[in-house]
Amino acid sequence: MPPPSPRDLNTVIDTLLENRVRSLVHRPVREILGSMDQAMQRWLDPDSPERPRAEVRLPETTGLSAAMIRHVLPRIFQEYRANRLEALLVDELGSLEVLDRIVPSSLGRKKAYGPPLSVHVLAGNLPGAGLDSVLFSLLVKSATLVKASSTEPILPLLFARSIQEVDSDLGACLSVVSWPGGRAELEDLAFGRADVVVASGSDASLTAIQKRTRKKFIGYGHKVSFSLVTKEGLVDAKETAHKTAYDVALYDQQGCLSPQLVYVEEGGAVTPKKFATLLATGLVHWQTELPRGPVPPEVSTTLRKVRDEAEWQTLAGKDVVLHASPHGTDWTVVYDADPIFVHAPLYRTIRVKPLRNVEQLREMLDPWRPYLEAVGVAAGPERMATLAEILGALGVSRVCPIGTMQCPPLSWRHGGRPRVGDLVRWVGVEREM
Amino acid sequence: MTSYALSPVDTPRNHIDACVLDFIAAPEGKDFNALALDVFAHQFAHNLPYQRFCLARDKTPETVQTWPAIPAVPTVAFKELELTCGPPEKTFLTSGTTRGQEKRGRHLVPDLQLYHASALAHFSQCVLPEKRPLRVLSLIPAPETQPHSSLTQMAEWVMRDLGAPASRYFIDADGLHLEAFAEAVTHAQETSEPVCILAITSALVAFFDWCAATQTTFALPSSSRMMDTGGTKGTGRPLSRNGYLQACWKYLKVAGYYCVNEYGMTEMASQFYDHVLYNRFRKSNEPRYKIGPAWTRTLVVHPETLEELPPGEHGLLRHFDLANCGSVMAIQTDDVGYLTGDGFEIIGRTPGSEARGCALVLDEFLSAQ
Repeated sequence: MPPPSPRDLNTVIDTLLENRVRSLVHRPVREILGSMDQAMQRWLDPDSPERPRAEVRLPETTGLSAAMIRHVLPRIFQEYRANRLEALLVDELGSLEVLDRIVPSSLGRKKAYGPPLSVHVLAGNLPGAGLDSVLFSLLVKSATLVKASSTEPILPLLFARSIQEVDSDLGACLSVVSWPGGRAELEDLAFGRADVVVASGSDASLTAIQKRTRKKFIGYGHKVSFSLVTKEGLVDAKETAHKTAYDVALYDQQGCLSPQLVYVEEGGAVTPKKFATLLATGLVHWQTELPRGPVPPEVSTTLRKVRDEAEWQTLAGKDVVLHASPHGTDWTVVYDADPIFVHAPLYRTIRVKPLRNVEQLREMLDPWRPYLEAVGVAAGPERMATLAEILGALGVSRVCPIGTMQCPPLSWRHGGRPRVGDLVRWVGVEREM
Repeated sequence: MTSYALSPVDTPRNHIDACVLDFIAAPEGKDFNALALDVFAHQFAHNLPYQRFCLARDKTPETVQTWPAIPAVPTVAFKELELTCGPPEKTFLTSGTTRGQEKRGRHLVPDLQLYHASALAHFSQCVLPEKRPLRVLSLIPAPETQPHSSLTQMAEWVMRDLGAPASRYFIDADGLHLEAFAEAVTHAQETSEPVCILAITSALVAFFDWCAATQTTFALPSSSRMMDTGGTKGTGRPLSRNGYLQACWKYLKVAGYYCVNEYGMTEMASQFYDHVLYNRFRKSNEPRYKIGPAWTRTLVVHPETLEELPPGEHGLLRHFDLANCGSVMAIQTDDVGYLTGDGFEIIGRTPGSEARGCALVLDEFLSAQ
């Protein structure tokens, strides 16, 4: 899509703000939820107009395989159903009604207001990432401008269209634009006029966006996640490995929730080294079911370097074992006895490392604290609580079962923060004593 | 045609070295493939980690019939192991990174004679084709600063064996001596004695910046020439090849066909040069690209499949160098280039790959530390 002129962009924002006042601010939140649910229903229906178009276009714009796109699309949208959205609003705001009127609460009366204009900067080509924030923004009755990635504007556009189709009043409060990064006049305009800017991207791009923001800025930087297989998780090691392989394969390991390394506790039914073999078998399976997308030449080179390094470490007598797809660089598993945390070059390249005990995690992860996001855990229910305490203290925002890492529930507090709560401001009304 | 009837194993090192030296001394009419297979057999027999690497690919002197099939060792291997066929006469180290965290590659050279013969023969052909000794002004660090640098070793040999008296270094333990270099250039200008400048590109860029800042220009006597290596990346002021050539003319009055870019690596005894000066000497007018000596071959392979690519297609350079007889002759680089004419052109080193999604990549983490 062509970038707008500054004048066009100004008009788009003016129109969004007018539409908000006319048809969104006084609308009961339940109505908005109802319309959203209908729109999301279309995404769950393979015969809807949106799904086939997305399935055709997204492999090209995201670099993911067609099979992967078909697989992830319904998984993205099934979380955005009305009952889940409502549960999240109630959890974070106390009730739905606080968005409609002043309501009594145990500590007096209050109402939550969404920002007049929120701007959402969607980064990279991870399909679906950031669309949840767009929904939250509409739910708090904010005029919502989406700045899509210039390489992948398709899904945000189709998403906006699906809302427009079921509810034109609501759709009129959402607009998708795109321009290549660094267009100062457009960015100054959009971010400067926004009451809230929600952005995801690298630390460098977030800093650049934040500089142009005058009011509130919510940034989701790049993060690191990993998998943790305890002795209990090794009871059915094959199944655990299969699920871990799914976490690695999904989105070709591009997500901030994709595991970059697998720690395997020693002393279980199989050794960490054997687990690496099982993980490789799992990746063979997912390569058939959900093939990796094509990668640019420089990525192939980087992945080959990881393989070369592992092979030569083995030849040098180190306790390192390489498992690699026979042709190309489709998947790579490296078992490395050195437990130090190293992150992956992604695209289904993962290291398996042994862990003497879970306490060792503190030492290994200390330098990574600011970057930790999710941990996929395979453990019995008894140990899960202890592990969650350790991981939470390290700065992790999500602890989940292995095999679900890239399917976060709506309630996940991305970056450890409230999602809807971060968008609103409150008015409290006190009584005369 | 010379025959290299050697047994595939247990070839005495000095015998195969002698064959390679013989090839370097008079390559005309010699059979590269035959000697490459002998060198491979020698390395397979004496370089045991390399042998294991080959066996993992079912490649042995019995199964390999042509030089392109000889298994190529990735440069990362030199960081993990000592890849040599015998005790080293000298060990060269790759340059450390600015972050200083990365391991340095080690190239163990059992017989420096081969390196010496190869480096000087091809340098002579590409930089001094007239075979007339010139005074060398070196903007390559002196040996006491970089005792393990293969580039410095080469500069040392060029100055000693091909240079005229009073050749000298302008980079030592105290740093880069731009004013002394300018004085030497002035001296050449005044005496009309042509010089040969050997330089790491970044040092020349610093000199051009100094010229610009002091509003100084020079006019080196005709036949003066410059060999640069390393490129301008990391100088804070990346300069295109054309920009570089313009600066050579603007500040030193050295024409483009006297500016020869060198491409070499610590892991290889032979180097590659722009063949502009060589062509001028032969009165040929081919466009600028890199050529290797007769005892090397270069292939370009696809980074994903490692299959050979036809001329013109971009991929990773893979070099075969008989002068690497004492270590490994087949080297797989991360350098991106393409085949052209009877040589190749290099585009650059593979940059750190940028991930498409929202997962953290290494460069970001390191830059945040």
